[in-house]
Amino acid sequence: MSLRSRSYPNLYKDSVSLMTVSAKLTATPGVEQASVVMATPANVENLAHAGLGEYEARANDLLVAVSGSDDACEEALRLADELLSAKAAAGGNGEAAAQPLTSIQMAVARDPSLNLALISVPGDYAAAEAMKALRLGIDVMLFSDNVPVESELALKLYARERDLMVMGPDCGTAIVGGVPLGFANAVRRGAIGVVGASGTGTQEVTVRVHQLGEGISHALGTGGHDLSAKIGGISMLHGLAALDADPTTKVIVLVSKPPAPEVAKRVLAAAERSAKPVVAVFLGADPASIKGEGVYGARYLAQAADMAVSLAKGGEARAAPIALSNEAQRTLGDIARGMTASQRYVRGVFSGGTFCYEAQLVHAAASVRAFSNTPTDGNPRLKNSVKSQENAIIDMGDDEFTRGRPHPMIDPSQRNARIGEEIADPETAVVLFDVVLGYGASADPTAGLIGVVGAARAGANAAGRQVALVAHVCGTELDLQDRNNVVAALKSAGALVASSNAEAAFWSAAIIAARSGAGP
Amino acid sequence: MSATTIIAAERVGYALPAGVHSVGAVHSVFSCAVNLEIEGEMWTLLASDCAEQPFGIRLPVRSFEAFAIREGDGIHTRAGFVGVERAGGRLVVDCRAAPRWAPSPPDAVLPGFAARVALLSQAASARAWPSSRLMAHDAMRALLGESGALDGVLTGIVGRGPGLTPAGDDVLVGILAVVASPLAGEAGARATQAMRRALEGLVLRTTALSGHMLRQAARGLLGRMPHDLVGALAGGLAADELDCALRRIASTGATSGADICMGVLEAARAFLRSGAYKAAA
Repeated sequence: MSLRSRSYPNLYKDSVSLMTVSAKLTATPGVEQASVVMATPANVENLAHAGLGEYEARANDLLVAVSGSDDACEEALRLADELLSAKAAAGGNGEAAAQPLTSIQMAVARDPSLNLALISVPGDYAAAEAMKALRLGIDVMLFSDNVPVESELALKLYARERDLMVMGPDCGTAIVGGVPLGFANAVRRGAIGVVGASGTGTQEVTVRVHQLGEGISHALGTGGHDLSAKIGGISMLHGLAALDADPTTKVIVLVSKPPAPEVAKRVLAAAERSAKPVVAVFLGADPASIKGEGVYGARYLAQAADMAVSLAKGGEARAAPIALSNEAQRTLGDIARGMTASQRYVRGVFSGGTFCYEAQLVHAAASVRAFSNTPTDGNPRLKNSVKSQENAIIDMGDDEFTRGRPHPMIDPSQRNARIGEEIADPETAVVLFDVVLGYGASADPTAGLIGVVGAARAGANAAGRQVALVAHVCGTELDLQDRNNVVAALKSAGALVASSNAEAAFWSAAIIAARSGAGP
Repeated sequence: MSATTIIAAERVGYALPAGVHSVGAVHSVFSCAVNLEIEGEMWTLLASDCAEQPFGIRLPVRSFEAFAIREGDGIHTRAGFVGVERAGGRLVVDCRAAPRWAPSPPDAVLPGFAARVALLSQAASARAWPSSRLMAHDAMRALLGESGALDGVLTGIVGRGPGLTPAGDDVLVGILAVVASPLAGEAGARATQAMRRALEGLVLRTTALSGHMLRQAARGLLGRMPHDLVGALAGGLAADELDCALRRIASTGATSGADICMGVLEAARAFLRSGAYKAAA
């Protein structure tokens, strides 16, 4: 084992950057320990105690110390150089200082054809920026969260009076005129328009549409609170009307958790008035409750996409049932029978909030109650989000896991570690997880995951346990990460990869049912 | 001839003596803050969405990346102007008409203090550096005379931990925010004095930036975040705002916000109690 270090005199990087560099060095294959700290006497003493070498203290120097194989240490130091110098290189030579664009108003003044502002600033300031954009007569995508509901309502009422749309707050995904915004995927353009109150829900529908050979005209976000009684679905109604008027859109899909009853009524009435067929998936609501001329209810996200594609191709609103084939039944049954007596529980570890929600619904339909940090109706709340109990399905993208840290779709290291912990738990039968691809998501989402899974599975195997890994990859082959490559990597690590989130959850529920003696 | 760019400051901190005639240099440059070392003090140019600092100058900009300010660029201040001598031309910040940010100290600890402490603990514990709680505990025991000499204990805390402002320093800022508050009364004033004396010889054991922050905190000169934190614990926020505010503070930086919370929590339990300030007054 080698020990290597590098010192960067008087180099100042903010704490979040240092943490990011440290995490990336630690994740380098073959690196045993890595530390990125200011070389204060106390930290130098800590490094010595940790076996990372002895150094002369120079408090204003940034010190990188790594241990591991020779090659790994060399690679980690090269990576440290690259990451720590990245910003300085991009610092520029002052040319841009002449006229930096520092406001939406300046941007619109420079190019009056601009008609959409994407706002991503801390929540305290977001509403004010959004209002500035609306006053300039342009639509808004509000990526920011933590915007008070009163501000959201004020913005949306102001926008409605001027026939403008506010997508958000907390709107992470949209595709406008083929331009992906936030966490959208690379999908072909086509005849299906989406209005979604859920980012990953919108992603699941759009990628499924792409996989089925159709395409997306526009995918508009509304933000998660839009269909509450207080907001009244203002953005969803606007989006629905916009897609209704859009000549390229032939079929419209609405995606949400169940709206407030009076809002659902209003949205479905508007859908019925639309000249185009509308498929609505209100996750958790009975599809039979979604009625109206030309309005079709879907139970799960994938089914909504299936129905929309069928309609776009001139067929009926039909979706294949999410069920087990005979072969799947045999495979899952074999896996379940190979487990030890202690292995009884599913551990869902999700980066997409809506995937976590949908997975809970699928398990609940199979009578599998699961603890969660974001429980659906009828499921118990997990006492401690960092420690699973019994059946547990966790949203690692929830606020408590992401304060001050990148979302697991951007940096999956925290989520990967949790997957490793769940595999190592003797009570775990199935680890169910998602991998979300697309713009903004981690460029190499399996890089750390495969190593974590391999090590944890080796440990479980040594203890005589086989843990089922069931995954869903939300993405397309056009995404930067290429879904085909990601699926191949997961399969080579021993994971079963389903074609949709609902199907993955269905497989998981089948194994848990088998472990409790109920099939398959 | 190089062009001069003039920007009017939005707001300046309550301790900033912008009118003095002095010189210095740019110490460090970040996307949303530029630190200026001016005759032994650290001033900070802040982007418009950064929290105020006692020696802060907030500008109506989102980022400093396009301003091409470099470490070592010369600084001069005079008559309410702060000049930065960049390679691409002089940047002049006009502070003359900028309003001053001055935090209002809370005047009492309102009922419900224990519940607010529990809420902060819940918001911050998982986010803080793992050793921060222990460092806060050790520092408070020494400050209250329950363990070894204060300067000996602080020697092991100053400069310890990850981050540009090491976690140990953040913990100490949290403690100072409480003991320097009027709510902590006479006992707090004595504790502040003891901390200031102990830290005098120790600030060279940490980064220059963090050393300045500690020095300022020991003089009771604290930024908006620790002020707001003590105010929130005292009960200065409505119930529905409290949780959001505490969580926002606890999630500042990588672990800095949460580490400051650890210091505030330990000190608050010892120095703040319902009605303490009013009773002392």
